Amino acid sequence: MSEEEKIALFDAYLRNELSVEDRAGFKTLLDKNEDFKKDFDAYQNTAREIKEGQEYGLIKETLREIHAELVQPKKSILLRAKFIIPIVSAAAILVLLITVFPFNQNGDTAKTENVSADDYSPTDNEEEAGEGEAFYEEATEVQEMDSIIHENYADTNNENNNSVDFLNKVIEYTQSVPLGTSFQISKKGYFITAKHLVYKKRYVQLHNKEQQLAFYTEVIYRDTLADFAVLKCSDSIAKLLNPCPYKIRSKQPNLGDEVFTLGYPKAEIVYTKGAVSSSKGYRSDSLTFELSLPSNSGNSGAPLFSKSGNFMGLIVANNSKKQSVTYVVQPTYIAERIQQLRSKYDIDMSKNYSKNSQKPSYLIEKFTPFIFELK
Amino acid sequence: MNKEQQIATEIVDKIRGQDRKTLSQIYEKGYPMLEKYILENSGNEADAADVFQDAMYLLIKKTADPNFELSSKISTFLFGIGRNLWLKQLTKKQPDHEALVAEIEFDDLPEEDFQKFERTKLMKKCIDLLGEPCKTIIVQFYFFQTSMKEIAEQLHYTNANNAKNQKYKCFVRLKKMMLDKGE
Repeated sequence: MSEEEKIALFDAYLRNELSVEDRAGFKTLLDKNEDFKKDFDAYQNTAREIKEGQEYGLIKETLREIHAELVQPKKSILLRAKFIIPIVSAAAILVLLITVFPFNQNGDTAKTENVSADDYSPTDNEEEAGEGEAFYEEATEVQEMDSIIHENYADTNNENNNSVDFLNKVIEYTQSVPLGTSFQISKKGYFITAKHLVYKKRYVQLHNKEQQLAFYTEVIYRDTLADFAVLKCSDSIAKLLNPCPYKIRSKQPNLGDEVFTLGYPKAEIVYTKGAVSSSKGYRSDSLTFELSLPSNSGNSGAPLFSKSGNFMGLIVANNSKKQSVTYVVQPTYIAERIQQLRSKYDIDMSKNYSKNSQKPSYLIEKFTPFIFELK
Repeated sequence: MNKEQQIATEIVDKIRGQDRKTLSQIYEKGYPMLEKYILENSGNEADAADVFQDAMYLLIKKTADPNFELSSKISTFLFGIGRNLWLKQLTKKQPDHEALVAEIEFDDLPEEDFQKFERTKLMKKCIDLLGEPCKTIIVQFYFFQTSMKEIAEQLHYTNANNAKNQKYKCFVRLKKMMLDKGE
């Protein structure tokens, strides 16, 4: 009996898939053949260890989340004078954040907490939002899509294992309206998006038609103050990524600066331009600033760039009561937070380079491969 | 059973069931003490979090034993285990450090349990390093007890036998990684 057959037999026995006679035969073999018994015990032991290893991983994951909820980062940006000016105290910001933060349009929390700020609406595609929690099973499904789409995207004509069902699945997937946008910040497989898009989710899918890439990422960080989160894809996917043509740097937006964004209000990338209209955000929140730029659902999580192609922040919300008002998380805040996260994660941004140009079409072409649909 | 015992049993039940609220309360109470200890003993915050979470994991695992009874306060228990885990980690780097070795108390965490835990950690590392589709196959089969037929469907294998074949290869690879200590 080969090793492989032996293991198949063990599995069949352990899962009760043997016939009555075979089962009896198996038991006799266990009694009589010591080596066989030894192999069987060793196999059972490894199977148990796998189970425990995986369980450990899941428990650890939960505990890490609890840790993140309980233990605040010690160096708070609120202690810095320049960020305090418009608001009386840190407490005020926290209260504000708690009351206005949109989190999830369909979730219960949003229903109660949003009442006081019904003009602040996160720019995500609402009907898609709040699908509930993504658990492990869902993640597996994503991984599955991950491999299918990645392997077969390139040559959809190849009929090898493409059943009609499968093709339909791919088409349905690529045409579905994204929830929002996310963009790459490091060649090592790190992405940024708006926190409310990944509310209650552990895994989300990213998709880029230009690069013909679809894969799942894990939400590794949710900021406590601002509406931003960091995603990480698997290392094998990271190998397929290129260095970003923009740098995540501290930049002060100036009133009147011309800016543009690339996002996914629909299943195609959309270019929108506008200008910085106020240095403070919703109700003078200093972590964000305001744009005069029409944003639609799906723009949430999109990067903002200056006219010449410098990174200028992260789009998170618009104001439903005013026309063309969009809120953006300050690049300085994001850059600082990422810097802090580097002590924990390998967010290597040294390969990022600046691609300055005044020609929008050139910048769009360079940036598009780095901006992903979030599904 | 008096009231105190009753409460203790309820807590143990909740820990066993991994009730998130209970875990969070325990975390909040127990963490600062261990963090302080680790920061004072050549560790940083990330070390403290890691070790404390490991101690919590061991507590959850201990409650799986139906005969488990809380003999001390949970935070004391966690501190004891966490402290030992940390000392062991330190002595791994400096095995000759007698002062450290002398400090390790085996009451809270017998050597046997510790070795088992090290294996569990190593296994987790190896599973994560497996890559796809192996990770999915192994986790689905051994952890979720999914049938080979379902796994084959999920991963679009033409039949269960192909998936079985692949599972065997993944299993062998995982075992080899365990032998190589996840290198």
